[in-house]
Amino acid sequence: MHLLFLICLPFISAVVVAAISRLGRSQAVWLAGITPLLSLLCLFPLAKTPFTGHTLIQRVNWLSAVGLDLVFYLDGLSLLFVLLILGIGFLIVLYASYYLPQQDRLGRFYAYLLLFMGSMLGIVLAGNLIQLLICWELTSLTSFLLVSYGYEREEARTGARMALTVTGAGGLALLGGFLLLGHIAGSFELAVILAAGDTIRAHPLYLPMLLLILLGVFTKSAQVPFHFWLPSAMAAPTPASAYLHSATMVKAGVFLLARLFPALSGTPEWAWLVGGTGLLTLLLGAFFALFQHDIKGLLAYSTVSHLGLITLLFGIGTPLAAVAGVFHIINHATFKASLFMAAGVIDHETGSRDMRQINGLWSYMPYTGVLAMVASAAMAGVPLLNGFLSKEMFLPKPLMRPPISTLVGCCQRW
Amino acid sequence: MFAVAYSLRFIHDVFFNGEPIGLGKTPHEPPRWMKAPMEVLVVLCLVVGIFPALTVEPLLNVAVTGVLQGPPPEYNLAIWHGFTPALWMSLLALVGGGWLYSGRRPLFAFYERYLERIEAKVLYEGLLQRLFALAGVLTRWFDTGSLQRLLVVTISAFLVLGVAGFIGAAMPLTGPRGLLPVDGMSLLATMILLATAIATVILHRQRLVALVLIGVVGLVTTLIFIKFSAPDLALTQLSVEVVTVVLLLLALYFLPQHSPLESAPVQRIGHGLLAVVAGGGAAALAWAVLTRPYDTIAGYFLANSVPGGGGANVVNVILVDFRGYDTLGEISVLALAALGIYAMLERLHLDSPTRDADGRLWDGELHPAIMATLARLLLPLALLVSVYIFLRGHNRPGGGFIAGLITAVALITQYLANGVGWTHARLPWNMHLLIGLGLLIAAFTGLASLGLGYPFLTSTFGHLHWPLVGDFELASAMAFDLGVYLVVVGATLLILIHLGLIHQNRLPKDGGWAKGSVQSTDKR
Repeated sequence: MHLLFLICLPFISAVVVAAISRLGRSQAVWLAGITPLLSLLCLFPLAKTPFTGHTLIQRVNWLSAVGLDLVFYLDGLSLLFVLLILGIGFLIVLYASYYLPQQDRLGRFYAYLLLFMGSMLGIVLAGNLIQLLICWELTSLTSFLLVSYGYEREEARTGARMALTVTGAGGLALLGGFLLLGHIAGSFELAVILAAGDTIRAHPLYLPMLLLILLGVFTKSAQVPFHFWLPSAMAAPTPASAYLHSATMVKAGVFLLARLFPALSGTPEWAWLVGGTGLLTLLLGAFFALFQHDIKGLLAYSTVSHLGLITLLFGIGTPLAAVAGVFHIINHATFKASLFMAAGVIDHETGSRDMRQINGLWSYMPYTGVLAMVASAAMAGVPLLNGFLSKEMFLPKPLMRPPISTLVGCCQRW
Repeated sequence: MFAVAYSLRFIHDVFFNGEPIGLGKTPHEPPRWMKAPMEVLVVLCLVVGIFPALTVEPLLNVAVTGVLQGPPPEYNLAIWHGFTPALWMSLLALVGGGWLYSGRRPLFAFYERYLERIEAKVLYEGLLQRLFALAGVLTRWFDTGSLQRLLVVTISAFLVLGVAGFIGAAMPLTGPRGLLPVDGMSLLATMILLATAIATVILHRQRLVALVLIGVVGLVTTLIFIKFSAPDLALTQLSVEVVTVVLLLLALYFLPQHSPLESAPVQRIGHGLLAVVAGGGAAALAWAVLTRPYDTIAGYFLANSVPGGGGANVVNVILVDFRGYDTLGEISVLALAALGIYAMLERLHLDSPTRDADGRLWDGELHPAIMATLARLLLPLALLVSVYIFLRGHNRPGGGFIAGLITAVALITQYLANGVGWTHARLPWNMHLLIGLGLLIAAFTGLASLGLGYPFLTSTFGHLHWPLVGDFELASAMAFDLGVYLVVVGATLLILIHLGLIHQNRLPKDGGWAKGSVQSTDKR
């Protein structure tokens, strides 16, 4: 099974879903739901390779004349993200069919969602930087479409435009960074770049390249001071928020941090820039989250804060911090997606997202209440839940690299 | 600690804290399957939290291997590590978060008083506004709204760049290549071309006359193409000319018949000088190039057209095969241009003139019977010709582009002769669909070769023996050509129909609007 097929499947399916939604709502739901499941099935025979400690690399002839091929790269990190994208994507498809109003035929929404899914898969499976960048921009575009889904509302249009400008500007910076990186490493292929870490770090162009790439990462992952687009993008339909703004799109930035970790990390610049930004985002996001009245606004700022935490962990740069970062990516995706869904249920049932209005829902919807409570307990890091485990992992580390990390360690708990 | 506090707020404020205030409806539990995705995720949270080693550890291990490009470090996933500092801090955070939340009222007041306005969003919007203002200033500086000025700047820039290239060149203007003898026909055609071009400039204020003269220029150009054995170009030029003149006629309908005097005499002299100098420069350049022996790429295409592309018509093979990428780009641009024009015309309503320049009423008889009848008779013939031209395009003069234009002309004739309403009732196709379909077909032809392991847009061809018809060549480029054909037809008709519709009622969705064109002089 070819990885190219895996990426193309959602794109093809998007076109078909848009077409068959004219026949009826349920046809669209079925097809959109089957797509991620089918992709998972296709992934299954390929998934063995990363577990044996190897990387699966497939290539397709593209622009061989200029030394560019389509390269697909499946290692453990890609596999983890593919599972998140497809697994949560399936749940979102199911959820959206109940969330969106009955008179909505869903064709447009599912088409956008599947296009987005395909673009995300393209990012995480990309084996060269140019390919990654193209898919990166595609996620910006498709998320614009998803956020502006209810385009008759002004906030949806403003939010979508803001998200597009910020992530688009970041994408431009990223292009510059990638071109520099390709120039330094002598190739755009990921395998070459990851092996050339020492050359890259010693190169005089390292700092400008790092700055440009980090601009792209920070805009996409809503780090301070570019975090503001994420709360504005909450005008998106809640299924889209649950998908894009918890599990996938905002994780594209931290994915890139993790992906280029062997090539770029380990310098003081990396530690200060990535770690510092992450720390600032962690604190400010958590602080502002407390004061939101909109439930989705609260979740958005909390996402900003958790993304800051993940960024911080990669910024610290020790292997153990990287483990914690990856672990928290998984955990955050699960509890935040379910919290967004709970927020959507509440919005759907009460018609309001303002926490000054919606009170005392326990007596009306205890079951949803239990689910939301468990998920938010995970978010708060209560023991026996996954959030506790990944938060607990931050702590042993500061003992290994004293000066900056002790401060960091204290702040994590803050 | 804040994480705990905002988690608490989420739960407490939403699910407890008194009764709902001012909701329009009574909330109740959502449908069964709406909760299922949440359940799955929450169960995952629990399972990973309680049995980390059984569930997430293998995946985490391989993922970390991918991040580090090496073996993962030693770490221990367990819920109980004993009373470690981590556990204490967790407990501290939980207690602290609870305390923070219980004391939230003064905090909220503080926030609303001082901090609510400090947001990056405000900075962003300010920056954006300043950028827009800057763009406005720059635009006003470059573009004062005067077309003459823009043209002067553009042409002068070309002139400066062109002359700069010649400075310091030691070579004579005339190259070593001998000149061809002049024959009478060419001379005559050139003379007509010159005369009409000059006449267009002189008479450009009488718009209709100028348009007719432009038509003559186009037709003579067609003849010149034939003379220089470029039948493909001639066919294209001919159809393009027809479409252009029709489109311009439609546009002229809304303009006064004479254009006003735009510029002062001094300006006109200056502009005339610039035009003469720039034209002379271009002529000198052409002269210099044409009098030199120049090895073109044409030889390669001529040699490779049949073996490489499977077609004897080199022009078509270049379009759909050797330079297929370019063509794909071009039809995309064409589609975009058509959509752009559509977007501009869609909401545009102009009052159509009811009287001509001399104050006479417009003719009420819109569609002369003879023309209408003839046009209807011609349609099947013209379509047949376009199919013929399309099919033979790979080997003889023709191809998707020309066939598309011929189809478009045939349909445009119907619109002209019978009116938009009549034709539209019989041809209720959505031109957007046609354009999109054409682009998709062309793109998929390219992708198909990618799927078979060849580079994008590699073409292949084979021969098929059909009974009665005989040997028939089938090239994958033909599908690509079909895409070109559809885009050309769709784009041309989309522009035309909407230009013709500006002064009419908008098209009804059901297509039942047979007599609509009679009301063309109505004002809305």
